[in-house]
Amino acid sequence: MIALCRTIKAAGLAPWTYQGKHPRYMSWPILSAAAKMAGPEVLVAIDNLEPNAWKHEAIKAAAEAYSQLAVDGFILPGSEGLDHIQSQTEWSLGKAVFISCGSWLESEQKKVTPPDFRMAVAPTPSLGKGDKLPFEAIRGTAGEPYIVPAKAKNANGGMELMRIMLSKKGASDFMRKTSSLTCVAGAEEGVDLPPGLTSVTKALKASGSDGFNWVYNSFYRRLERNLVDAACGDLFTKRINAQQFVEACQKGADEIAKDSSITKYKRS
Amino acid sequence: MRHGRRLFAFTFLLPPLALYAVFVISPYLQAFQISLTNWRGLSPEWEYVGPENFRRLLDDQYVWNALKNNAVILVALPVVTIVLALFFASMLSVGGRAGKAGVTGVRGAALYRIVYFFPQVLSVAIIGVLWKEVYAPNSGILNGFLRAVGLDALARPWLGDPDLAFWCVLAVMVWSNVGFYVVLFNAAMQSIPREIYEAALLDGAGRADTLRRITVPLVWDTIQVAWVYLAILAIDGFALVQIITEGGPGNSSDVIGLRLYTNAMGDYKFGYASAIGVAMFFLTLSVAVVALRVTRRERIELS
Repeated sequence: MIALCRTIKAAGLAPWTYQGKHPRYMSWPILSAAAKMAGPEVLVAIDNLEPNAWKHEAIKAAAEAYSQLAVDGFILPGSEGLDHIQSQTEWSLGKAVFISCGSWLESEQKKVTPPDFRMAVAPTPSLGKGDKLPFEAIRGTAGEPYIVPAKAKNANGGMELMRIMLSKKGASDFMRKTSSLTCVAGAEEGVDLPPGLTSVTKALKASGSDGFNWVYNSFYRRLERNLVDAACGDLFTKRINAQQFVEACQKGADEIAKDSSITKYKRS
Repeated sequence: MRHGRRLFAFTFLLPPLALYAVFVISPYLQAFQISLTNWRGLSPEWEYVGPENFRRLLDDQYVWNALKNNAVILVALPVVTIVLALFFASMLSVGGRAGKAGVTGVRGAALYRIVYFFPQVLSVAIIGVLWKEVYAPNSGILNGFLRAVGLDALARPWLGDPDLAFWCVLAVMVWSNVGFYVVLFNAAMQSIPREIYEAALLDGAGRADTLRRITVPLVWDTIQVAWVYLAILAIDGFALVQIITEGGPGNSSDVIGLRLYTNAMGDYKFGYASAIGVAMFFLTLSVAVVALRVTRRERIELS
């Protein structure tokens, strides 16, 4: 990655940009790389708010690797002052080569992306040969949870709506209209997907059972939205280093763990 | 007859009063009730937790951080806005020295008066989005301007810098408010008899002297009103901060209104958020009282 960035920069392009005012997007490649290095247990520990989960060697190593992008000047100057739309637009206009984002990116950027722009997704690079998960492993997860409340006035109606929504026909229809994937496996068959999404389905298939996920952002929204977010902002503007980054994230996680007003969840 | 007229007025007043009661007063009362619960906003179940939310409030470092920023706005926004508005208004109405015509505004005053009012016509949301683009590091006109005039060294990632983001938003607050107070002060200054200025002129008073010794004392009532308005505005500040920085980077530009919003709409702690709202209510009330007290002065009779 670093060698490639050097070539890109020499060619006069910025290798990376990120969603500046929402720097948490950059925590995703860090966590992905860490999970690939040390296995998905790292993520379970984080989700379960285990003590010192963030201080795991793999997370520090991944944070170090990604902060190197900032240290070496491989991030589009001024990125930290952009919001997600502004930075993604710079990327769509070809001013930066890599950006960390989800599969909604193509749909979100539809209006400003030139028609011949062929975006594609790639798994986060492996940190080393000893990685526990293969290079192809990605975080593939359904991002829009739906709930039918148990005490709803018309719970059956709600479930029926979900059945229709998540039928193969409903899902492919949704896909066609929004060019974004659904959690219905195989719904993409026969749908003519744009280049970015085609690459997403390929990556998901290649990742297969090696896929991993974290959910602490759903369990404890504030932890990712504010605390890890702030730490990422500091890391990618070189105000802190990888060691301070994991400490800041851990401090945030401890704060949530201590707060008795927050319901705690566990997963395995 | 008299009775009939009262009834007539009352029927017209009833609908707005009812609307006010339903949409303003009742939410206030409900906030007081909700602030004593642990309601999560989405669930029909909640229980009373007494003053627990308020106790939490006292230990919440994020609330204190936001309050600190509000305190800075509370001092800076009224002072800067009023000083700027007074300066502009006095230039517009009594800044000119056009020979025979005596004391008038500077040349082009009519045009400036309209231009200053422009920001007031825009909604807060538009102002926020507009300035977000102005501050954009690469495509924004602020850095573009600095680079165009050769001041590249001064170009910054404005909103991306925790030391600057807050001041950037504060500048927008001043910008968006000044116009209104220029018009307000202008109106007040129109009512000052010209003879007073002419007399001062004869005595050899310059513009600064006239402003300080004549204009300001004579529009003091209006300044006082402006101060209270701006102070109340300073405790809110939510809309611009939410649109321009969302309180970031980190929490560097957070304000109490945004704290309330994130607690309610982000973390779904409606009970706690209501407690913040109740605290804000009393804060605003006391600031308004203090502002009125501090700026109280003897009235000057003009006639």
